[in-house]
Amino acid sequence: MAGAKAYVGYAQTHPGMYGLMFRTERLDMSRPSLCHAANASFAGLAHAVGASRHEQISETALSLEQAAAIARAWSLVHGFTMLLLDGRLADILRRLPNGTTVESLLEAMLKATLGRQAGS
Amino acid sequence: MSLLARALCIRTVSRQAVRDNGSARDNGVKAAVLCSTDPGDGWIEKIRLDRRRGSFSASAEPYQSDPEGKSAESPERTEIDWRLDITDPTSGRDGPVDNRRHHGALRVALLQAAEQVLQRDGLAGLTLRAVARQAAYRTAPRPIISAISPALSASSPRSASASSTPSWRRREPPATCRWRSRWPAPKPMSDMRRPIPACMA
Repeated sequence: MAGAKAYVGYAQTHPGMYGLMFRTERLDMSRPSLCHAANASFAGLAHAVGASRHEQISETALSLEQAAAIARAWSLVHGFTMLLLDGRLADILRRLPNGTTVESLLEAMLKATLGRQAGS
Repeated sequence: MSLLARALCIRTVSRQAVRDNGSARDNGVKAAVLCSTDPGDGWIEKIRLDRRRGSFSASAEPYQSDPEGKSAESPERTEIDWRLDITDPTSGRDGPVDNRRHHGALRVALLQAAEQVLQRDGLAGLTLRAVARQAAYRTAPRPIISAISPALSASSPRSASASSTPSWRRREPPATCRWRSRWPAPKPMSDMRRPIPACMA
């Protein structure tokens, strides 16, 4: 949860840098430093997902369930972030009760996802 | 920050690498090279900050996957030697990297400038020229700024005009392509020459 909030918070603070990270055509992924940074980011994500599943996730080999959990978490937060940065969540936020923030919306979304995972 | 460095392909070359670039007078010169491998036009643009001579030079050549290899065409090279101390004169150490300026670290200065450009102009405005201009504004005397623009424009393959001589081969920038002009938007991803490496997966 904290990682997801930090992810969204960074994107809100540095939208240009965040956008650059996903512009593949402007990145040279053959560079060791960038590869290292990307791998470190993935390791952080895998670690967080592994902690929620109460298991150790290997960085080199994933089970289908582990890979699905990682992709689900990343897709969820990244999609939320992109919608937020593009202003496409404004309509949803406008219809919410006064005082509802982006952070509370994200929190509710993540809680619903986690609850569904636990129930399934 | 490392992502930004990668995006700009900022690299430094060793003394040997500079020698291999084909200029005998550069023997023994250490230089920092800022490369822009813009996939939009398939050209590589280099800005070199020469430490010992205190000069600034820019060149453009066809992009190729092997940056140290020979180009298919001889690159146009425009050099302006203002005899200004734009790099650290006290740096006498040997080694593959000399990326400092006399006011501090060149690499850090360029990255900071790139971040400022990114914040101010967004991703579309993040070009090698904009970063160099931003860095020069912050740390270099005024003459360097006015010297950079003709050099870059003259060496740019994008400074198109009706003349039969390719504009990037001219020493003087055409009136339609002053240094303030922006790079055109990159071509679509389908035009990329570089494959996506496995580590992206």
